[in-house]
Amino acid sequence: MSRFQIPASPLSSDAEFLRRVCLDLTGTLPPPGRVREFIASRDPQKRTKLIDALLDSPEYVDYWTFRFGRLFRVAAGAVGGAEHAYTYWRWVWENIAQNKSYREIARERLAAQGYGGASRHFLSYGEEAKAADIMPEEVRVFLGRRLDCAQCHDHPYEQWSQDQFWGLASFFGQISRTEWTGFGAAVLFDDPAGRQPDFGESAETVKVIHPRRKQLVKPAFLEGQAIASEGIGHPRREFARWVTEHPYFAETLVNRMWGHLFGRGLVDPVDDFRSTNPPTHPDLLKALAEDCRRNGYDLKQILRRITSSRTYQLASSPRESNRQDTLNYSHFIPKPLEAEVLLDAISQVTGVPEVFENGPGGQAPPGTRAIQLEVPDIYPSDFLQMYGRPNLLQIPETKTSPSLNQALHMLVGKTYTEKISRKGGRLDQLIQKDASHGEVIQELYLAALSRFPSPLELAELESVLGKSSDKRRAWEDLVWSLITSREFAFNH
Amino acid sequence: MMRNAGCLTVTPELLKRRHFLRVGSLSLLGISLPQFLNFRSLQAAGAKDSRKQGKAQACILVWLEGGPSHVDTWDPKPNSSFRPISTNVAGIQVSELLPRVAGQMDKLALLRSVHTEENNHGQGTYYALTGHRPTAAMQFPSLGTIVTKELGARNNVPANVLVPDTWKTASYGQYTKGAFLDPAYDPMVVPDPSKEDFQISDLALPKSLTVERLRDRRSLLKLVDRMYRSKIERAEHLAMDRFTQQALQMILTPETRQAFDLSREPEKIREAYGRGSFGQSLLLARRLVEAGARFVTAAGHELNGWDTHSDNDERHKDKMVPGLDRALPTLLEDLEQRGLLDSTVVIVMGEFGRSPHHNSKAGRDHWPHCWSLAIGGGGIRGGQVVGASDERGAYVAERMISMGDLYATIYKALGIDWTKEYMSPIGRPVKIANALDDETGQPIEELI
Repeated sequence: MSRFQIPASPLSSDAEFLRRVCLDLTGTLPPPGRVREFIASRDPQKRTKLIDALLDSPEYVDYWTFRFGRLFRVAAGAVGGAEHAYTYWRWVWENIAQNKSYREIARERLAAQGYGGASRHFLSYGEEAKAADIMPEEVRVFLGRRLDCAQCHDHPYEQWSQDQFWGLASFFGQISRTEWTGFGAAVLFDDPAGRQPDFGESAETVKVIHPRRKQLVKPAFLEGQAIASEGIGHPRREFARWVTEHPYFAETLVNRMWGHLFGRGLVDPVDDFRSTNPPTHPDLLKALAEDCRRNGYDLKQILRRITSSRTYQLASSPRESNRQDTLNYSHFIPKPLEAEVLLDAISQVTGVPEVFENGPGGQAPPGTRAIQLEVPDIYPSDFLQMYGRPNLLQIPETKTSPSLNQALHMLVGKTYTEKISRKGGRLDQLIQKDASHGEVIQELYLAALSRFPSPLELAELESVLGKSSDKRRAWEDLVWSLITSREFAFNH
Repeated sequence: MMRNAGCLTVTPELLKRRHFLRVGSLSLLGISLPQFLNFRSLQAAGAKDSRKQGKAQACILVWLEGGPSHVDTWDPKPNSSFRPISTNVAGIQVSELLPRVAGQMDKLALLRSVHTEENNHGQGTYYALTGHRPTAAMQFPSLGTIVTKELGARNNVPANVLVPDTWKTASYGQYTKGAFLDPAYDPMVVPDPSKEDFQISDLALPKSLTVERLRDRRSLLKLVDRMYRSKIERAEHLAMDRFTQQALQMILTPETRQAFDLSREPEKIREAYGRGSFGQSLLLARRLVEAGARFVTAAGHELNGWDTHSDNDERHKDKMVPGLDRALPTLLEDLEQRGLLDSTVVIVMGEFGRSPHHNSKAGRDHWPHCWSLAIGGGGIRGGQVVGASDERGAYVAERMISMGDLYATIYKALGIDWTKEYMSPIGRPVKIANALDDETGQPIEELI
């Protein structure tokens, strides 16, 4: 920044920081009590302590299971059935709950055999996925490179060649499965003789054949070397070793985390590292990656490191002189809440949980939050669809962007009307307490925006609400305006 | 700014990257880059006119979910259990299951040599709706969003609509979206119009909400959001303001809601389309197009409805084809009577055809290698057959037709330059009419 003489904005206020870091680490708004307490605390270490408390919370586990579930495409449609997807989800959940080293997670995922959760992503529509589909996905997830183009031709502006693509794909060429022994229980293993054709398949289609040379391809790493002879029986274990020892591995991980926290990776999109898409801050990326390696690929440590930084804790309001800057982290750039987080936040503020239905009569256990859905795609949701729930058969990273459907829904849709008027929610509690307009305004501001209203806001709102003859109605209108505000819909 | 230069949409970025070498090599011919660009734009100016002659205004995609058997419908063969019958166009025969469609054959052209490349429902649907094979690396915009983007919205009516919302359970709804295009072009998804309680919930004020109260709420919102908005300006905030304005207009304009109100149709018409989800979706499509919509996907069949892996013949004969044979001719007649047929392209297809042979369960399996679809209206010349399959309907015998060619034909009818390319966020140019082997699709000459 100093090179470009872009001045930084000042440090964020406590309230601003609290809301931001709660949303980023736990996907959950702080309850009013926590906001009051945090703002009032005079402990100079309170930000650090807050970060630690959040990283140890059950919401952290829910939220990061959700996030990695998305990265790893945990969905019934992606692996061929809800039961596979649930096993897969469970594996992600356990890893996050134990804060397992990401390196270990990657190794398990890449080398998985058997019928455990880590192996389920090798299934596509319940069959073994094709090597040419698996490999680029693993490289995209763990090494942040998109090799897909090289499947059919040498990459147009990168060094990847078609030979490299097929050499890498060949590591996955032996994946086979046992016959079905009941739904969800197919055992995956590497068959040294190569995958055998199923009924209706030809030998040609299950082997890793170079499309141009029409020859069987042997496993070879990106740099061209083949597997050492002792590893030949376990090509995926060799692949896992290569991936997790590659310098790209840590860089990709820290960049993903950075991208989550700042709404933009140092390399962006976060899975598109290439020479023509260089990092904005290469030294920072290197340093973070080095730190990640030193700390044993500890996910919490990466999050702690970044959220403790001054850069992360800057205010989001720009100065006149850094308004145009979107690349240099001179101020925090607001990002839209993800669909699931937004829906949960609305449920939290209104005090009316969402009901996730799954066909006639079926529903997720009452009180289940959107980020807690184990197999999300079996619960259709207009709201989530509208706000950009990704299709996990396609690329999982999507950004929420405004739409006409959202605007219609915000004005008259049921999430923004029924939840507010439903009995038994937060408003009813306030009515029972016989709260004053002022108290209600304050409580709702704390719940929705994680801050106290300014004296001016309080005075103006009190005067508007005071004019209404119907108290409940006036408060409902206030809740509506809070949850439809941009301040609410964004993390800033 | 993108500049349209005919065959490719030239952006500075594109010139820098992919086409740099190609442009660079022109210097061997003694042509400089500015000359080249000039030449391209001149070429474009000439070409542009002929590419933009189409007069059609809207498009209805009649979606046959699951993939109908072509040999039992559009392309009758000896290996079908059903006989071919004559149509009102001499020389064209269809399956005996389609007697009423046969009477409207002059309005439809049959493409009997369609070849696609995906053999499963998800991927096949993706391919049919976007013209691209699915890849994990990026998403491609759907035909509907491209048409919507190119033609723009009219009359406060949603420009792109998907009806009904069955697809939300199958993630297929995603395939109808615009991927990297502005989300404004994504389809509005509406519930099953054949249901008693059919209404577009987000288009009308609920009982608890009056216009005055909505106004109160909006002024309260201004107050609440003032501090934040004064500090932070973002394009997304402005976009949301714009959508909110548009949404308000739609909610407060009765015409918008009326376009969705099937109870305004005479009982006779509702019957004629068939009271099921498929028929009523087609009727709604006609109403919406009449009101100003640009692209309506009418996908009223149950999930995998046409996916007859068992009992293919019975299911075609008793369950699936009768509804099609009722609703489709009604739609064509209805459009014609209202003077909308010439301005509305109607496409009738699923994600693939079905195998020429029966399997062990008397079913037919997925068959993308060669299948048929029907297209008409919007200036497309009906009453003809393009392409031919072999004697069993298994493979293309004559003139392979790709999705790219179909798209190009539709674009041409709508006056959209089919050679356009969009630039994806990762700098990959994406053809709006993508044919096999990454070629640009070509309009089918016989049709338009």
